[in-house]
Amino acid sequence: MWHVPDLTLLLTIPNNDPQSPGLPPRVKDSAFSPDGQLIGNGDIYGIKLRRTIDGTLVLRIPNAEIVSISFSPDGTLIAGAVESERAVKIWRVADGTLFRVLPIASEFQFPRIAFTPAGDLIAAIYGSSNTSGAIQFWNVNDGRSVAIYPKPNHVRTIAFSPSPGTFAYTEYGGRVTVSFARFVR
Amino acid sequence: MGQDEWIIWTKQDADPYLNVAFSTDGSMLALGREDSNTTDLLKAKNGNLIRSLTATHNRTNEAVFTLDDQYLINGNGSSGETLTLGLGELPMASDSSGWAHIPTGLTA
Repeated sequence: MWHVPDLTLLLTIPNNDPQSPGLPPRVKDSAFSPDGQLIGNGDIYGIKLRRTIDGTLVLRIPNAEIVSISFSPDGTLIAGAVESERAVKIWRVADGTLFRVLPIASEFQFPRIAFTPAGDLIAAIYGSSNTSGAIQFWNVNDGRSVAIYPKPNHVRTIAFSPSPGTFAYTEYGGRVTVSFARFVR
Repeated sequence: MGQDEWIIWTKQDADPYLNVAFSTDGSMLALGREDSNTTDLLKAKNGNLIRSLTATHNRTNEAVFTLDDQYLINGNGSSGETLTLGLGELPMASDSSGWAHIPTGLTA
């Protein structure tokens, strides 16, 4: 962690794991909780949540490799993309219990996930085959898939505007798109 | 299922965009490129280029705005290179002299 704006190094947290004491696993993704009190990361052993101020491990969620994580805007949930299980999984931050499993009906290659700013939906972007991709949205509370947008290429990243329903994404091949969708929740 | 996706704007670029981030106020997009050392700032409403920022390494792995939209931070570096953090104060002036880079000591 570095301080903005002078970029002084504040803290380096080794990603130690009891399953790999000699070789901390490579961090696949990381994110601050919305209140800044926690920093989460995904790796080959699941998710770890640490205290931001000193890096103390506060919760470990064992799972297969998690390559992308996202905190819900209210900080109560953390989601992980599990490529090997073809699923998005959501856990409660308070105790690490599993809250929801959102299955993918196709390949789930190079996935990334993000909660929408309102927190009622979660999106996954992924390669649905070796060449094509998709953006999929679910209702967080009941797990319903509310939209799938197939794309001709793998989708690489997605970002949400604070303006409800507006999102941007990039695809392999160099395309960037800003779109709007009004979801039936 | 939900309603259709309405595309507000879309554009193709020969130098692929690797990632995208909205500014906190939603007015700007930062787009990091895969094969060059530039990160583009665009107007979110129409995709018009505000300016391009030059980093010290190719491949912008991540770009984020600070919560107050005062700064844009990106992480750069390809496999085998030292990863760098770039930080620029917003709004960007006519040159990128305010764009600072620090090596992280980490290798991609």
